Amino acid sequence: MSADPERYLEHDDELRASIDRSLRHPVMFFFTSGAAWLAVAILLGIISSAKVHSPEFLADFAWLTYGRVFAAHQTALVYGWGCQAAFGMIIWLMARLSRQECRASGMILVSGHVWNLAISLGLIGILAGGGTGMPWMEMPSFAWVPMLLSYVGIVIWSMVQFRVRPGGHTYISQWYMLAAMIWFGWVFASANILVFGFDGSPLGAAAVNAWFRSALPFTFFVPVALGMAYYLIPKVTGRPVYNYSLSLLGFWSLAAVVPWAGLQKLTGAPIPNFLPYLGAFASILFGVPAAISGVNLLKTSAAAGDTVAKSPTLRFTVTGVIGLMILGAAAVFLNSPGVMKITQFTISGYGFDLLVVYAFFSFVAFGAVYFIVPRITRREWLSRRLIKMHFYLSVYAIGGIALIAMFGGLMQGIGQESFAQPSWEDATTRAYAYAVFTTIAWCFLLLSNFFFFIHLTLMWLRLGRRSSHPTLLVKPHHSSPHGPEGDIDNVGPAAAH
Amino acid sequence: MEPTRDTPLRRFSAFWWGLGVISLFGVLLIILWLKSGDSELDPLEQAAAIKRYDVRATVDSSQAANLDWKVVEEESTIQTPPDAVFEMLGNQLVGSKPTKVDNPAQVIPNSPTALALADAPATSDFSAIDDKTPAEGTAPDPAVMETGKALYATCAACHGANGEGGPPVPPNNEPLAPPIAGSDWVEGPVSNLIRIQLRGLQGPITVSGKQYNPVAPMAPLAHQTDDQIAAVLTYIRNSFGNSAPPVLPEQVEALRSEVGKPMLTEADLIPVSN
Repeated sequence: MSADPERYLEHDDELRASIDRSLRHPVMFFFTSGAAWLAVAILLGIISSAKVHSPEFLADFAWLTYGRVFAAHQTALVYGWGCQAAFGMIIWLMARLSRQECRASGMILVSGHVWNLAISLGLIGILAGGGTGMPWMEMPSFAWVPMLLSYVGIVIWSMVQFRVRPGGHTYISQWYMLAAMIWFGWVFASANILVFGFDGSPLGAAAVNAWFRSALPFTFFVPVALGMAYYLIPKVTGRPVYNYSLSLLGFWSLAAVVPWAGLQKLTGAPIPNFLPYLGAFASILFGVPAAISGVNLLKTSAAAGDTVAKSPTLRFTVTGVIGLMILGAAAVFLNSPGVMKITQFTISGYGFDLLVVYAFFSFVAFGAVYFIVPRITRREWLSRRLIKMHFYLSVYAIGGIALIAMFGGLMQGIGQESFAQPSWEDATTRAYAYAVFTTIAWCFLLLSNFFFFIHLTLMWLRLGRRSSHPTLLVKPHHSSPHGPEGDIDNVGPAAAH
Repeated sequence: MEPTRDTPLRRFSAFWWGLGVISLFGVLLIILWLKSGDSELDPLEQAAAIKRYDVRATVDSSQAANLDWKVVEEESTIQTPPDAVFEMLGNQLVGSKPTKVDNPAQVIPNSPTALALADAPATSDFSAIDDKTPAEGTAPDPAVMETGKALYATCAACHGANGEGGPPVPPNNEPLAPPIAGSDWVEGPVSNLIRIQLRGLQGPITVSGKQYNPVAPMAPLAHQTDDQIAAVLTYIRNSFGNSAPPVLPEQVEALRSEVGKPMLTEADLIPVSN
């Protein structure tokens, strides 16, 4: 790397501090507005889930009908929370690993506002009845062009930083992040141009949409979260990645497999017969990169079990990696022929989406937030209890929602398949208990993220503890409920401000 | 330190490199999109689309008509509740349900349907089934007789506990059902009895020379198993002074395709010598 490592390391603290400072506003903007969108998504999720078992609930408002609320819920979750949390992670991690200060935080902020404006208008469009009816692409067609442009305005600087980084090793996290940045552009632009640009047959649009619903989570959310986990776990445990070859193998197997997945959602539609088979096969094969990366990361963290228990970052991230293992197993299970024919038209697809977006991606994102925010605000988290509440309620809720939605989907599918009796009624009856539980779990999630949002807002207002001791999830040996009031860090470039 | 890679020129080129990589597929697709003018439209696809748009327009307009505001009385309009459209859609779906092809000319030659029709026995010829009836004088299995006796309780409601026929019903004093005891039909061809039990029987019928006009038709009892139907028919053929060979379950099974057809009349049965 450098001919003179001593000299290099001498300025390392300062360099990291100045990188963090240059990114404070854009990253905090993405995390806080992402958290706000998460709250919106959860509220809409409660409403739409309640309507599944209690159709009379809020039935008198046209803009709150199930079709609109559920679409708005998914849109807010994916584009409001998921994408913005990913942007925050990408720009921070790429700057840190490329050892470059961000020189375009103003541009990133402007683009971030454009993104928020576009999805706000898109969400209003959905609630006003202008949704496109295509899952994950529900926003009216005016929204995707500004979204794409602002996306480029957000991540292009990270690509520049990557190209001008000091020579030397390219970390596996950079592989994943760079790939995710490029793949999002490919997937999002291709799908939207094919659906909204070309006037092809509606069947073609449905096929592109089915592919997009699988490509966006697998080629954007999964690699971003993997890149972040490959940074956080070795960093916080202070140990190297368990097996570096495995991490490369995990990357390339992911890249080779997931673009083929998706069309199994259209099994039985009049599309070429091999496409659903190909999609199901690729989805099953996703279990391979999931298992490789999951084992590699868990092995890395297993060497420091004590740290995993104490550090909020690690606890969330490792739980997310366990979510990844479950996700891989679910991909194998749900796409095997015997199960898929039962669950194709049930709530289990929604459960699978939530496994990707929440159980894996969001948990790693929360881990990243708990790691990054103290560094860029130069304040420590206020309360370990708020973090603990956020963690436990989230784990219970999402474990419930995702697994129950999948098993509920199985039960619903069995009800749909039994044609000897009034089967649709039977299917609804079988899924009823699971639908009620889903609503309860969404309420848990609302409570959980209420704590998170309060905590994050206080940090954003720079009301965190001025301490050099990180907030750990252990019972402290002193009287303060908030953790040790350690030395106030008055050195470094941030002290001047 | 090695020379830095961070030069303005490199940043500039990296910016355009990044832009190019991210937008690669988008640009390719936009070029394809711009090149795909109207001239390259597939006439077959266009022809198919016209029909599709026609269907769409019809459906949209008929749904809209159902959802219109309607005048219920002077100066008062009411909107049809949105669920009214469900009934219309349901009727359309029922109307579009495929129906059985009755006209042989409509069956595609050499298709599986045509072959199955060619293989099927003529519906009016049940001699193959009657030929399976055991020879005259074959004694029925006592166990089967016991089963049949138990099942006869259902029949006894109309045909009488001893097969003497139902009680007379005013005003014409016609019996509820004709007698079984001494009936020429009961000792006659087995296929008649099986078909009556599977399809039911209505209208006047002549039993042993006497015409009956039962007030109610006989309901089909096809829910019973092959064994049960064979047992009850064997029982009535060998009770109340009747004597005839037993009925076999496989004979009932062979006639299961009769289930669901309209009720029989006397004309549909194989005549018995009166």
